[in-house]
Amino acid sequence: MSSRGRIAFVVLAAAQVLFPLGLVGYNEARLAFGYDVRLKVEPVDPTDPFRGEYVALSYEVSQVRIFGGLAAGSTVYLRLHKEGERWVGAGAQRSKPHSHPFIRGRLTTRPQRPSWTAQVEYGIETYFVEEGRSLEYERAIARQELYVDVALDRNGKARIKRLVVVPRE
Amino acid sequence: MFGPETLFLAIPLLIVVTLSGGAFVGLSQRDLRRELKAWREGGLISADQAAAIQTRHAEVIQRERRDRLATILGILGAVVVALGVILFYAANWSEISRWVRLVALVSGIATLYFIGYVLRERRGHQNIGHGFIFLAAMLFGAALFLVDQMYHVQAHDPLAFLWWTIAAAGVGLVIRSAPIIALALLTFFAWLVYELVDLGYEEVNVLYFPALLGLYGLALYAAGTGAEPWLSRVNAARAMRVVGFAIALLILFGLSFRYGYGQEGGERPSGFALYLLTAFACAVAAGVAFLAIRRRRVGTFVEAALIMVSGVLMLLIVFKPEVGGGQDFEDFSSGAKLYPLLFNALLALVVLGSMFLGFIRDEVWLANGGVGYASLLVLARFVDFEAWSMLSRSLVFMASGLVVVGLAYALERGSLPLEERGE
Repeated sequence: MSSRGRIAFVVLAAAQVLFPLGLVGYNEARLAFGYDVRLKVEPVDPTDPFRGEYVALSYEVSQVRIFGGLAAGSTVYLRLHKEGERWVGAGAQRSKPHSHPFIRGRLTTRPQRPSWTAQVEYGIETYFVEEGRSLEYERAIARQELYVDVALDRNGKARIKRLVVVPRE
Repeated sequence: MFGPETLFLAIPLLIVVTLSGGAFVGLSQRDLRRELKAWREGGLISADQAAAIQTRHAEVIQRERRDRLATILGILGAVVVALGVILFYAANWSEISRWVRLVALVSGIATLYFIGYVLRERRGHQNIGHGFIFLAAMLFGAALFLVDQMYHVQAHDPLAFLWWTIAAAGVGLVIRSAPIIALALLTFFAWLVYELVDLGYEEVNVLYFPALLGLYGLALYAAGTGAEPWLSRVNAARAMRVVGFAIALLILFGLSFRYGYGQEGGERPSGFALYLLTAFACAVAAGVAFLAIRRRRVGTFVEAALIMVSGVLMLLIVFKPEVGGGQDFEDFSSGAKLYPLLFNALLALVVLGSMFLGFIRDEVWLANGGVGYASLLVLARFVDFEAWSMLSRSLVFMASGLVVVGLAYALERGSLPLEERGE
């Protein structure tokens, strides 16, 4: 290897060591400095909500009302307000709201008439669990006792902090 | 965590390792002994010269075989270890804290790069050093997956594959490693798959998905072949050709089935998917143009024609879908027929062409690949009970078999001395 090649190799190897650490720092900062909200989990499929070793999550706020001919893949924002222990949304909008909290998502379906409802993904639909630990979460989803604590950054992007089981009274 | 998705990375890797390992280089000892005997009898060389050539050749071949086997075993071992590490972290074993896991992984990457560098550059252990570097490149992907797992990033998020591609491509080009470049090409393939799934186009003609992946394979093969003199300097040409060949033929094979064609057409892709289709189609065209301009090797015209026809067919199924009457396979008159027939015919020509080009250019991996896919095609059509009637399949099998036997006869006749041909 030439000396230039050696330098390039060392730089690339160092970058591959530092990059995952940088990603961790970035994600930790988002969790530490984000706006915390709690969302209620809805059952995706009561009989088999899992694929592989992660929990597929859906939320009360996964279905929103939004007017207009938006295509699947469009970015939307949902303003959140607190109801009891959890946060819920009303109608979604295309432009970023001026006040927090709000959550940013992406339409996975077109708004359908006459209800103008559409499915939205927020990037928090996956929770990785230890192999064999899925059953307790599955039961909590079936009892509708599962919530997710989420951190929202100033652009509304969400990150899961933890799953929380809140027994129903 | 990654279950079956990891396999589709492992399987092409194994294909690449096997194809690029290939058979052994040059003449076998038996072939050389036969040739030397003929040369001695023809008075071209003396007996002493024949013995010296035989001994020298045996030493060279033995060294090359040992090196090649060491490389293959090193890469294979690295792949298996890396997959084991990925599975270990995917199990998400809570007995080890995630921070310990992360530190173990990144320090493992640094250590492996260091050991690989020392072995390769300072101690002259090229092959095993290369294996360590390859393992480090694989573990970088594992580190990205671990970070995604720690922060519950979407299971089908494609970004990690893109970062992995960039890292592997950088290292592969710097140390001129064909296996690591192949790794980058495969992780980019994974990125494409996940990105297309993520786009989630509902009303678009679903055939754009395999067509786009097939065009990617064709683009790799066409560019790797057309620009071979330049790409060979960084050892990228062979990796591009092998990976491109494997992907393109896998897609052609998939498109030879009638399932999936009998639907209502759907809209044309737009946005990002259209950009990708256009980019890969242009890359295929550019590669074919390079081939046509250079035309340095035997069979270049055939190669260019097959690539071009494959690319055009893949674009046609997206923009001019065959709208069938549904998928009632009990009634063979319904459902798409034209495109499956065309892809079957094209695949037959491509596998024959691969065998032909592989043998005349001494590219054993290409010949092996052609034989492998030919076997797969024959088996698939033989058991394809629901898509085609037995009578039509029997006629096609017999006609195709006779054509291939005819080709074999023509080849053998061409190699006979004139008096034995009766001329």
